[in-house]
Amino acid sequence: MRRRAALTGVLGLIALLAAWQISVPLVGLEPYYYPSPHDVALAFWDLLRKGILPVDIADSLGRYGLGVATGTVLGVAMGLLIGLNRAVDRMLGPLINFLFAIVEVAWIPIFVIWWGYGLKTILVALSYVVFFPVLYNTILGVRMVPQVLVHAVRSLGAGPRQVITEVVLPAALPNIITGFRVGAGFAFRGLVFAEVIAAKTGVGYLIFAGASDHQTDRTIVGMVVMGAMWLLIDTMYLKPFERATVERWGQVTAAEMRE
Amino acid sequence: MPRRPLVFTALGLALWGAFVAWSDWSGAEKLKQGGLEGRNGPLALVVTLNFAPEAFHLTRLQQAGRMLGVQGRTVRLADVSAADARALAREYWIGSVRRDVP
Repeated sequence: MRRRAALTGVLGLIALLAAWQISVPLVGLEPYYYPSPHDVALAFWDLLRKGILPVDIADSLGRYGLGVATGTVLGVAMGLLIGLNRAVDRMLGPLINFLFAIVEVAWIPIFVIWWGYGLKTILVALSYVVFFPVLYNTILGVRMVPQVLVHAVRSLGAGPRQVITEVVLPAALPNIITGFRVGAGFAFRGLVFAEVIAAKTGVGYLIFAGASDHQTDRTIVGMVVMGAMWLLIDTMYLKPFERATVERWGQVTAAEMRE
Repeated sequence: MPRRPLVFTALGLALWGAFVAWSDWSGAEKLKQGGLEGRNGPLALVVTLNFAPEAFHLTRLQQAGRMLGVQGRTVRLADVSAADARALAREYWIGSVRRDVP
């Protein structure tokens, strides 16, 4: 069943590529405006043999990994603090809601002024994107912890640290993982914006530089690589991880996971 | 722990390890053929690429040493340390690395 679905997907992709290739001479535009799949394939090979594409992919993945890790740690820490302490929630809640509305693209010019072009700016931008989904889901997870469990461990003599590590964090973990997956998805898109503005390498920069240099085939290579990278990350890491945790713990059914 | 990420990561690391090992071997061969084996810096090099260099390659080469000139697929560099020469030789898009004899 799964093999048939995968085969159908592949056949659909082949049909799309064939239609695209056939349409190029019919449309009659210059390759700069409308490159063919063959042009894109040649550009892909050119970028690979010249060593540009591996460096761009490696730099993008490195920045993405660091940004997601940093944003997740900060989001979970702040989420625990706000979720467990009403006074902190009242103090920081309005500020966080305010900042949530400002997209990271609006912040990047400020980050460039503060930290210049490069890794620091991109890292802060990606962490900012991941932070909010993880934060809100952590707060939700903490607030959903049944108080009877907290009272039970406290009556057995558990201190605040044990309540957090033995009850609150494990109970909130499904929500944290959901927030992590959402944040990881947003971060991938944010990576493109950040690299266009603040980097000289990376898949996002490749997309931008291709357009600037009138090499639309390279821009499309960047877009295809970007889509393939996300597919790999989601299929090989995020989905299996979520399946092994959130689904296994009964938070989401297998049918809902397949949707 | 789910199996798929572990297998994929192990496969990725194995492929990367094989590529690094091949790069080290081919880099050592390029240095030997260019008369640079065992030489200490600073070195003057003639680096020949497999194609005409683009901005990416020129930036990479400028990080290794002082660029004296570009002619076709060939770039002349000065004041290159031995470590940077080895790093350049490991790049698969560089065809040869030779001593620049004035």
